[in-house]
Amino acid sequence: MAVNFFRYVWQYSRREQIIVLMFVLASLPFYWWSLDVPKRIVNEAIQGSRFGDGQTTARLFDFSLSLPDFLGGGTYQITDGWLLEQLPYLFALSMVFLVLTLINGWFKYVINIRKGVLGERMLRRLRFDLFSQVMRFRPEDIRTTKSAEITSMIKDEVEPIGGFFGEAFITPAFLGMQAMTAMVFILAQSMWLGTLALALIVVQGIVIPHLRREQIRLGRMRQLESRILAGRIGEMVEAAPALHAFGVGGYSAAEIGKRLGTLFDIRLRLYRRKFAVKYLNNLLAQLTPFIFYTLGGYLALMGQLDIGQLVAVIGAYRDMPGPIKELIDWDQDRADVTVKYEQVVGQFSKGFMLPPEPTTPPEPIAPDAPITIVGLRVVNGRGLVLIDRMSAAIARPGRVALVGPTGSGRDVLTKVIGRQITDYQGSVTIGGREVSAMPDSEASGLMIYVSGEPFIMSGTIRDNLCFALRRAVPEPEVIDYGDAAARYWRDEAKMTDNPLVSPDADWIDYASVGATGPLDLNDAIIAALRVVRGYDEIFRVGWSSPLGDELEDELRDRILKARPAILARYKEQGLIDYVEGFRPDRFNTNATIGENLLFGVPIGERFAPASLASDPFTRSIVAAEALTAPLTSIGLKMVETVAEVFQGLAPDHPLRERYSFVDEAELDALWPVVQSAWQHGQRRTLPAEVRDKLIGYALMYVEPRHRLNLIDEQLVARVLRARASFRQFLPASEAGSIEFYDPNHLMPDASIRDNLLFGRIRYGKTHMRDKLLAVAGDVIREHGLEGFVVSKGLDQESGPGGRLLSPQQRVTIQLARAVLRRPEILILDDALSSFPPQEALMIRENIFEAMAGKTVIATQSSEDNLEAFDLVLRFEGPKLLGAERKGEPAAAADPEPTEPPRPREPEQRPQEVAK
Amino acid sequence: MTIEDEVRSLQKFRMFHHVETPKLKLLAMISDRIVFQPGETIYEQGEASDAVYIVLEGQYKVSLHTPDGVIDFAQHVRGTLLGEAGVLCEQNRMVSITAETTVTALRVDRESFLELIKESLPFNLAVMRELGRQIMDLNNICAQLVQRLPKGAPAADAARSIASPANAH
Repeated sequence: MAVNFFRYVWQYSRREQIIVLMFVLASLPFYWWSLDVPKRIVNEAIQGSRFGDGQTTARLFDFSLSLPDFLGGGTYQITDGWLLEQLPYLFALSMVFLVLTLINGWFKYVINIRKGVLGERMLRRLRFDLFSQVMRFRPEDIRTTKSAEITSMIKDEVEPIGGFFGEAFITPAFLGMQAMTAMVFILAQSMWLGTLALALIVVQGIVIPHLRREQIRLGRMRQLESRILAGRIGEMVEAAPALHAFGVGGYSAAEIGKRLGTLFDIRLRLYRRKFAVKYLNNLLAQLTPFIFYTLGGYLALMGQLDIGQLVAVIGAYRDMPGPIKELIDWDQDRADVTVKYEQVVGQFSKGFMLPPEPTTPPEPIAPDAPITIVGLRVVNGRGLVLIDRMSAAIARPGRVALVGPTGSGRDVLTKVIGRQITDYQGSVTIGGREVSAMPDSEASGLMIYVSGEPFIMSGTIRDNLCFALRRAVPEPEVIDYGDAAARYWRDEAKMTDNPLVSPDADWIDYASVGATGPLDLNDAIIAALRVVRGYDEIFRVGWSSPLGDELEDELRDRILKARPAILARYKEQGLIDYVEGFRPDRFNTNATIGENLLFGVPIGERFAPASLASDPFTRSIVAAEALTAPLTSIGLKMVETVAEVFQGLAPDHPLRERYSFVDEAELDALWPVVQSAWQHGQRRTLPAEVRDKLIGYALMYVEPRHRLNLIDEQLVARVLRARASFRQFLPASEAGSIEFYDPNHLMPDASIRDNLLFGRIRYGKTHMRDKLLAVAGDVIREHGLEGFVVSKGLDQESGPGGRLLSPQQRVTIQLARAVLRRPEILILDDALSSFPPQEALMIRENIFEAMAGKTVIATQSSEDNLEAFDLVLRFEGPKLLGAERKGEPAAAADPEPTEPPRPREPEQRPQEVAK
Repeated sequence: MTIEDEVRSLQKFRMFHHVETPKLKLLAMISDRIVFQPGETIYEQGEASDAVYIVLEGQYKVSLHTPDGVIDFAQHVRGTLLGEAGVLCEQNRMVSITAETTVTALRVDRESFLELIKESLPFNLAVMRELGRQIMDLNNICAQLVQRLPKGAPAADAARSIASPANAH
């Protein structure tokens, strides 16, 4: 990027700037005329200088063209104009003045619009350039930048620069010419006054910028200070949980307060300066008319200047301070903006950048080209040696263990090969190419680095998995030239060197996962999830997600066919007793009382569990079937139990899960009322809303889950009767609010599980859930529904930074993402450490199997079983101790023949001693 | 059976003597009551340790699958808690448990069990006491077994597992 602001502007907006300048030039004659006409109105039309000597008419609009002498002289009359009397003459001139005003206004409008568009385009380009620049920072540099500062720079700090792009060349040209026109005009009218005015302007032009220098300095301080503030606030928001944990909110508040104070002080000084300069500026501007009135009046009275001229001069001068002031303002902005620009661009220019992406794909590296490490030495920013001169050759394909304690060379070497550290001495090459100098497209095609800190973006799990595949470069859409909107988007992107391909295009590189299109992508995802043992989890999530109603008929049929098939399979395997089906004439003990009452799935809010009890229709049915009293006492019993058992447990404690529908705050409000009603021995007089709440709890009751022994035959009979009347008396207008259970229909708002089992798994058989799911899974696969269920699971939201997922889920997704890409080299930098050891071992074995014929480099601790590895590199601190190849005895360090083994010197570096 | 009944059965256990009733109620509330028929597997060696069982009633068999066959050692160690070691140590199931008679047990999910340990100190102590008792029993058994060994037999090694290797899937 150009470091000089004007060079940057000129480089990218030359054409536009020149076009606008043309407009400016074209507007000048009109501007001159609009200055000239008032003079003629006063002198000729009002004072009648052309109507003296008995003449009643004068000629107007006569144009003659006189050729200069060197072209032969001579005068050509173009038009004779008209002879007009004084009054029409006045009106005609006034009309001319009006027309000129309109033309000037139009020019101003067009120029402003063009300037604005030009500025916005340049702003878009600048922001994009800055963003691209950040993307080319080395990993080390990225780690030391605060993202909030970068954001504030790209978003806010360049904003005023954007406003200035349009002004950079045009404003000085436009205003300068305007001011010059006015000045020449004044000079032409009166040498005296003109010189005076000029002198005052020169004074203004010298004094004011001088005064403003301090203002610029303060402005720069403000910019730096607000950027640091943005960075600190960003950091603190991210660290908020830790701030709470350590109770150090007061200290951080004090720090922000101090920074705000500094900022306030700078801004205050800035305002003082600004208004002082403004005051002086206004004073100087007002001084000139004073001189004009006194001196000009004097000259006019002495007869050396006619009144018309004086009015014209004053008129011209009234227009003068504007342009002059704006010119001074422009100069001020220029100083300000160039400083800002250089500041920002300087921040974005690092000494070392990653190479830009090549346009042509690089030559592929042979799949068996070894990783050659020669004389690698890594020193961190504080001079601590992280890897001390090591050389090794890692043959590919192979399984490589880097063994050593945490923090030793093993962690650093993975980062070097994985291109997380690019600042090293010596060389690390694959197929003759240095890893740190590889462009992204080449390196990412060859190897994937996975650390233990998963990076999850907001979006669904599928988005997060496919995120790794979005590296196909789709062809820019072929634009139908009739489509003005598409053309507009395309042209604007082209003009600002932004990417032409929309992010909505299909960026997924299907070929890299062996898929032909979106349809069999699911298979690749399923395979990858199986490798990292995350499949069951996703399947389970999909299994309990709502079915949704956007199903094709064919899929609908398959699901309906799978329903009896699963039950038949359960029967075959003796599992059928573990599921209690939905039957219209039977009370389902494993569903809530509310579900039994509805015998269907609520659609929308009306009959949703939370609002069911307060719904007038439900209430009337409950009352009609004499359920109010029993349900209220069930609710009471539940509230009592919760109040007793969960006493002292935090409101969102995981152990409350089974009663999570009883809200702690609600309970606090409810409890005193219930107790007082109790003491008076009159349960029936509970207030209506308390009763509704209690009935609401009761409708959530499931006997085998809550086990309070509250359901008897009488209640079951009443609920079944209520079920029938609910269906019978349901108003037609509410028919859309519920979907009744029907073995031949799907229930879009119910979970896939309820749809397929058409019943509930018995609570007393929870240990069989996995077995039941596994059997159901087999049937689902046989009916070709696996992809559908998994898709539903993949549609789960992961939340910003993956906050809606468990830490293990995040790691699993990150691993699956890497496995999905099937890189030639997979680098696992402590990536399995958050799994229990046995689980980690199984995942590792699966990965080895999936990566057969490819290379896996993994960090291991020295206690791990390393039999499965082909090559083991052992580290102690920054030193490579030695390499063991499978089937070979342990060799000393330095298997690289070109580098003779260094003798073990007793000499140690001071840093190491310090460690 | 209701929570109240279960609390009463739990109170009969020595290990829960010092746990207050509301916490026993909580334990009953967060668990599922499961009845295993004779011959039914309670859990299988090598499975993930997803729950702890508190056996209220019934007899069960503990068996270890080894490459050389199955070792049953039901007679030797018998506790109230099943599967707590695997949950606490994040290990998969070390042995298989099969119901011999009708077994009634409370099943506590792994997470709930760990939460309850964090929540209630008496419960925590009860679990520790139970583990301690098991260790003492085991020591006793080990001593008896060692006594039966012929002179000069190699010492047993805790790091050497004789269980069949776990499946990768």
